[in-house]
Formats: sequence, C-alpha cells, structure tokens
Amino acid sequence: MEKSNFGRRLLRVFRSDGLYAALFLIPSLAGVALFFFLPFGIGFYYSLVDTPIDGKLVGFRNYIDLLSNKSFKRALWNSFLFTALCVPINMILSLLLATLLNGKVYGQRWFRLAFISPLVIPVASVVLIWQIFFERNGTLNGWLEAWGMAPVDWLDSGSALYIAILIYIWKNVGYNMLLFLAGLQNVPEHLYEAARIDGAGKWRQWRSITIIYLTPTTFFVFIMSIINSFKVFRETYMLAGPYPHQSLYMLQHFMNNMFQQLDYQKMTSAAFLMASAIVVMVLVLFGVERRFSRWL
Amino acid sequence: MASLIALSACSSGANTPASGSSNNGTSGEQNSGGNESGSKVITVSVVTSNRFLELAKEKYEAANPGVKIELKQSYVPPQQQAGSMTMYAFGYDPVAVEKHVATVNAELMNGNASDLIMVDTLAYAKYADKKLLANLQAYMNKEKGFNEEDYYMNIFDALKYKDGLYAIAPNVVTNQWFGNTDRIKDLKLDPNSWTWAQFSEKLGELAKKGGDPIMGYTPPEMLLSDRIGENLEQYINWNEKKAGFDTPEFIALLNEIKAYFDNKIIQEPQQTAGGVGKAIKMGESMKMKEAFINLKLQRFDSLNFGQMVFEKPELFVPPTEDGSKGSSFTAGMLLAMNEKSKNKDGAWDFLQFLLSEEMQTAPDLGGLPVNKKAAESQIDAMTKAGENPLTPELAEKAKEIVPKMQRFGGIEPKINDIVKEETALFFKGEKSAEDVVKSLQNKVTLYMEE
Repeated sequence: MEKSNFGRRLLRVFRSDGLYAALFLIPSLAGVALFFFLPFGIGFYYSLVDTPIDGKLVGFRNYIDLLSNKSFKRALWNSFLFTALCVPINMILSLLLATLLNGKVYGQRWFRLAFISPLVIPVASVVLIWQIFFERNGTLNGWLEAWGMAPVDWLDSGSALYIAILIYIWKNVGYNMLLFLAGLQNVPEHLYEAARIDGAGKWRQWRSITIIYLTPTTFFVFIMSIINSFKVFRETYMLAGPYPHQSLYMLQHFMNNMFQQLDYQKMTSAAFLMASAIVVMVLVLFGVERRFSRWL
Repeated sequence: MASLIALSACSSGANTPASGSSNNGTSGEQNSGGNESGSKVITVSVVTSNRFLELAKEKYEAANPGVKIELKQSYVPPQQQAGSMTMYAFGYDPVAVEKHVATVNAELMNGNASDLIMVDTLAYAKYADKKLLANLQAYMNKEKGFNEEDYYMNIFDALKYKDGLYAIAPNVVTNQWFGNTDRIKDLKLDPNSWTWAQFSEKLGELAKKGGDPIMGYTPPEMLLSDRIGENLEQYINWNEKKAGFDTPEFIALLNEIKAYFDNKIIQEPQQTAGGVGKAIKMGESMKMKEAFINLKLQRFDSLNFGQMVFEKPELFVPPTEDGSKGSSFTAGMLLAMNEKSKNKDGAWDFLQFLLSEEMQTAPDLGGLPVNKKAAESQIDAMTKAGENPLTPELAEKAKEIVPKMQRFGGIEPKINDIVKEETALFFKGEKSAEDVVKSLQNKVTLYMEE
C-alpha cells in the first residue's frame, strides 16, 4: 500500500512537465554555468586579490586603485561620451529610416536589404575598407589633396571619435531599423482611421499613436543600442590598435591591455564595475518601462 | 575549473615537442619542482634558444649531475637557423615575441611558469609591480655565494627598478664609434668625451664640402632610440608615471636627427659608397672613406674592426648630450626569476653560473661580459693574440668600457614600438614634429598610466 502510493507519486513526478523541463534545461544550464557563471565567479575572485597566483584577499583595494587610475578614468569618460553620443543618433536615424520604409516606397525591399547588409559582412573585411578610406595616405586624404587641401591623420586626431560613431551607426542602424519596422507594423490600423476621422493631422497621428505604441520597442532598441555601443571596441581596435588616439581609448582597450600585461586585478575590477553599471542601468530602464506600460 | 586545467595542460603539452625539436634533450618533465628520483629540473623560458644558453645547459648539467636545465622555447622558427646569435643584432622575430608573451603570460597565470624567464621582450617592470618576479637583490650576497667584487656592479645598479633588481643581464651591448683619422684630424674632437652638438656641427661642415660619405648608415629610429636611452629617465619616468615626449627638447631632438639626413651627415647606403663587398684578409684594411662608423659592440675583439675598415682608426666613445656622462648600454638578454618558483635557490645557482668566469668568457656570450675577471682575461688574451693583436692603448680603453656604463638604455618594448611607429611618420616627412610629439606623448602616457 505504502509502496504503491510512493510509486504513484513518482509516476506523477515523471508525468509532470517540471521534470522534463529541468531535464531539457540541463545542457544549457551546464553550458551557462561553465562558460558564464564560473568565469564570472573566478573573475570576481581575481578582482579581490593582490596577485593572480596565491594572492591574498585585499578587499576592495583594487577597485579603489582603479578609480584613481588616470587611464581608466579616461577610458570611462570616453566610453560614456561615445555611448551618450551614438545611442541617440542611432535611435533617431533608425526610427526615421523605419518610418520612411514603412510606407509604400519605390524599391522598398532593396532599401531594407541594403540597410541590413552591414550585419552580415565580416568585421575584419569591413575594417580594411574603413582603414583604406581613413588612412594617412588613404582615399579620403587623396580626395582632399586633389582639391588642394591639407591631408589629416583622421584616426590620430580628434576626429577619431566621430569615425568610431560613424562605424557604429553604419553597423547598427539596419538592425534597429528592423526592430522599429516590426514595431510599426504592430500599430493597429484602426486607430489611425479613428484619428483621421477625428481630424488629426499626420504629425498628431505620429505623436499620439505611433510613438506611444512604439514605446516597448523603443526601450528594447535603447538597451540593445547601449549594449552594442560597447561592442564597437572590436572595430576600433582593428582600426587603431591597442593604443589609439586618446579620444578613442575605450574601457575595452583598457581591459584588453591589462590582460596583455597580466594585470588581472585591474582588468577584472574594471570589468565588474562596467558590468554592474550596465546591470543597474538595464534594471532601472526595465523598471521605468514596467511602470510606463502599466500606465499605458 | 576542470576546463581551465585541461586548457593549461594542453598549452604546455604543445610546447614540449617544440622545445624537444631543438634538440635540447627535453626530458619531458614539465614540473619545475623536480621529480621523485631526486633529479631537479630548472626550466628557462626563452623567446628562441641561443648558443650561450645551450652551452650553459651542457656545462651546468655536466658539473651538477642530477640537475637538468630545460630551455623552453616559446617559438621555433620554421627553419632552424644555425647562428641564432645573429638574431641578437636585429632583434627577435615579432611572431616569436608575440608567442613568447602569450606563452609566458599563460604559464604565469596558471602557476606553471618556468623558474627563469627571458624578459627582454616583456614589460617586466609591470610584472615586477604585480609581484610575479623575484627581487634578485635578496640573492646577491655572500650567503648565496655571490661576491660583489667579481662583477661590474654598475650594470646591476643601472638595471634596478624601484629599489629592486628584477632582471639581470648576463651580457651588455654598447655603442662604440670608430673615427677615420685621415678625415677627422682637423675637427679637434676629443675621443673620450664629445657631444652631439659637436657631432652635428663639425661633421655638418665636413658634409658641406661634399665628397666621400661622412658616416656609415644608421637608420633614424636607431639613432633616436639610442638618444632616448641616453636620457631614459627624462622621457620615461616610472616613479611619477610621466612621459616626457611633448617637450621642446624632444622636438629639437627629432629635428636634429632629421637634420643629419638632410645635411647628408648620414646618407642612405649607395651601391658605390664603399668596398663592403670586397673580400679582405685578416689585418688588412678595407680603406673605407667614411669619417665615422659606429658599431654595437658585442665582443671585445670587435674593437679590431677599426683597423679593418680604416687605415688610421681611432676609437671614440659615442657622443653624449653634455659630453660628460657615462655611457648607456643595452642587454643582449635579460633574465628574471619567477617569484612563485619552487626552486628559487636552484634557479639562482644557474643564474650565477651564467655570470661565472667560465661562462662569461664563452665566445657565444652575445655581449660584453659583466664578470670582471672574464672581461680582463679576455682583453689580456687579445693583446697576445697571434694574428691581429689588440694594441695596448685599445686594451686600456677596452677595460674602461664596461665600468663606465651608467645607464640602462633599453626602452620598454611597448613604448619602443609606439615611439618607432609615431616618429616614422616624421622621418618620412609626412607629419610635423609637433603633431608627432603630441600623439606620441598621449599614447605613451596612456600606456604608463594604465
């Protein structure tokens, strides 16, 4: 009696979805644990010791040292400036493009394709083209000289930051445009109809219907843009190397160089500061979004 | 954690066949601590092996049965070159350097690093800051069998970093100049002390007259790195983490070096310039017409080089900024000890063996000896050499060379790269000195403040 009761309970466990869900989750959980949580934990440990091997725990000394490190502060400011500049530009441009391509435009499909193509081109080959264009002896300077102007070392002057922004926009505007397009197509058509009947103009429709319905998409695009803005390092590193012009020196340059120099303390504490800043920011944004959508 | 261990095992496994193929007789024993049978292994990580270290390994193992020296090459060039010593003069293969940095970094991180590490291509000062390298000063005393009297301690003093000594040079390399008396006798230059200003002025006058070339070709970046090395602390101040490249002095220096080429004091080598291709007999002069030739002196018998190229040669110390300071030197190799090594005393014993008279007199040393007796006996032997003896005056001067060295002129590899890259644009005439200096200063500052 006792036994069959137990067996039945076991059977119920087997039949329920929870067990199967867990079973199917194991591979990906193991993967995440091995490749994400474990390195994360080891990295955190490195940020608390004084030397990578047999180090003593020094608490938050590495973080305090880091905050007084001039190169780190420069990298922090550059990364912040870069993100603050390129995210709004990127969002406005991609929204504009999405709005334009949402209506009936001649060659609409080809335009969409053209804007998305930067996503599928391998970075290394594109960087080569950018390099040829902006090099000291590159295409752009060739044109300038042909017009009788003095050549500029674009990547080694204040313009370097704008080049990085340009590359970022080029790379990301298509993706964000796609997200916005999807959002635009989800706006119920009858709302526009009702608004038109009530006599709302194009601008009023856009402001009161389109923007409101795009809010969730906008939040998503915003977060993705911020995260992608941190990824521009790959392009800048390939363009200008580990020690680029000072305006182009990002947090990842700092971390990458620290890795090369075996300074795991600075590297991991910088990584953790950056990760926690991003997490806090994302949490705040999600909180705002939740409140906003409830109001909607 | 398991995956990390697997990775590290993998990387050290990959190195075993590499060092084995250079027939160093790798035992396959990877632990630096030694194995059960009582025989100890001292591992040495090198960029590429060289004959000096191979000879040292051979002799040391013969003298100390039960101890094995394992030279771990980070990179084996596709074709093994017989004369690996020639690689010193031209630096290492960049691929090998990159591999060496990656290998040593990985090994240091997983705690498997060699007992001794060749650090001339690494930013070893930064490693020392991270307590990854041992302070060798603790070993340089009588208890550890080290007698300061035997060595040119000025070399080790010059290599100190923040009151510690983290790398030692088994040999030193310095510049020496040979003057062609026929051409410079009217210039009234003091061979023991002269300045760059005199060099530029007097030889500039000579160049204006035209005729034969003034100096053997030296590339501008080499002149520049020598000059930076001469005043290293002015340009690279680690204590205050300050770079000094955006100064009027450095701009003047850049312009000065460029002027040597503009004024034809130094010219690109021409096919017709000299009899370099001509075969000469020992002791016979090539009768070259240049007023000066400079040479990175790696062995004392190269002092005879002057007699080979000029009819009436005169040995000059390199010019300096103010004509008074002692000379600067670089090292053919720098060796450091792993702070986490389990066999520090053994490693130190081998290091000290490299500094011993026996090893320091080896022809393959790759630089001038830092052991006093070795230097003196070498010079004395050369004065008695059969074919081409060193003259007593030259021998006297030769004995002065190493003790006069006061400044280590080795520029940190990363900074050296940045300097080379940035100033190349200036020497090519593509950028103004002011622009170059600004971006150079910014980049080096970024590096130093990191």
